[in-house]
Amino acid sequence: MAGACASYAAGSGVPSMLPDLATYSGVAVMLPNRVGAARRTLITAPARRPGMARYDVQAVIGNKPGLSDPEGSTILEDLVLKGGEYSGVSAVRTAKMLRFTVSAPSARAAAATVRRLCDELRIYNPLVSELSVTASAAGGGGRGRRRASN
Amino acid sequence: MRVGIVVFPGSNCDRDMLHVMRDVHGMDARLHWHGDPLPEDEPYDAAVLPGGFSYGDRLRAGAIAAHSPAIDGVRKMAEGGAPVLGVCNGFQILVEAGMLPGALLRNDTLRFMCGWTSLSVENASTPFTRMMRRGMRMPIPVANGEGRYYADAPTLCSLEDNGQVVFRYADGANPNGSTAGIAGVCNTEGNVVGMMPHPERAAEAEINPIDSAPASLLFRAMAGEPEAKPAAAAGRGRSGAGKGGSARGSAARLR
Repeated sequence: MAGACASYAAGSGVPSMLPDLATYSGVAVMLPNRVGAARRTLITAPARRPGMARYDVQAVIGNKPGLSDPEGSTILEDLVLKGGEYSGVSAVRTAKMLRFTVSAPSARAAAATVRRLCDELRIYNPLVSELSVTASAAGGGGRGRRRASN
Repeated sequence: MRVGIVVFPGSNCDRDMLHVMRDVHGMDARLHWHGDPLPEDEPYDAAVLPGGFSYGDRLRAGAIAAHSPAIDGVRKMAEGGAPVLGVCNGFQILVEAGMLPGALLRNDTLRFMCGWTSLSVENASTPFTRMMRRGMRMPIPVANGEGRYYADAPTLCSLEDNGQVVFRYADGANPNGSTAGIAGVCNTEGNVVGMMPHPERAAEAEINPIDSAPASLLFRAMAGEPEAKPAAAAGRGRSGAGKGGSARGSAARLR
């Protein structure tokens, strides 16, 4: 579903994860097929508007420091440190990453949109998780690529 | 007692819950699709969120179902004081919806677990535990992958001080690494209760090889039985008896 528009019509039985179409217009996100396929109606692709560009926005959701991370501990103790050559590594923390494609006037604005939707839709649980958001020009990666964090 | 059992895509304990409430305990229970608003003409007296894997546990267990239309109605019911019970995935949904404190994390074993455990009743004054006694034991199945209850220190202090810990894993059991062995909590008012183990799988003698009476008390309380039940009559029929005897007798045997 990469590149698909995430402006969805509210159909029967649709959880209102994206309740206000205008609020998050221009955002495309990879959603699980099973969640999406049966319940969402694709309306339109994000409009290309003057002054707007597409940004690749990465939202990384990790456990707060101090919260146990048994998966990270297992990777560290039973893989990395047993590898023999990586004794300088002292910690591994696992995280979940969501990649959004956002049409916005700037990388900063794209990151702000994703930060806001993550907060409002409880994409992460602030009690146990922390969120970092980074935006860069979609499809870029070379010279002149703009990045913004939020 | 008219009860709505909210069914989400991925629920798989809804019919077990319906069976116990309707067929065993005679409640007017019915399945309610999560996409439909709760009925206003004949409102439910109580709501139950059953176990399962709503939305395949995508994002986090319960995170997507917590945005369902029916949850808005369940929240209003809770605010009005109606009893609301969440079991397993239902507990996760209530937490994700902000109706119960804390969080449910991946088990410390990193594995889905399924087995029998023993609970200690810590709060016997909720609408679901009012027929139990504090400290009594309840043999019950538990099955989850994200069942590790977590609360930070201030929340934990608040839970303990307010008596919001309803069930705790007992006798050295803590199958998922839950903070303080917590297996179930309630809101400050006590009318919203969430628990990871499955009372609907423990309330009939045919499927509980240890003792079905303690778990039956939860459903008997919902069905409106009076609290001061004479011991001799407490374990009648299929619903409460387990291996026979009253709730008081069961509690004594389990200690």
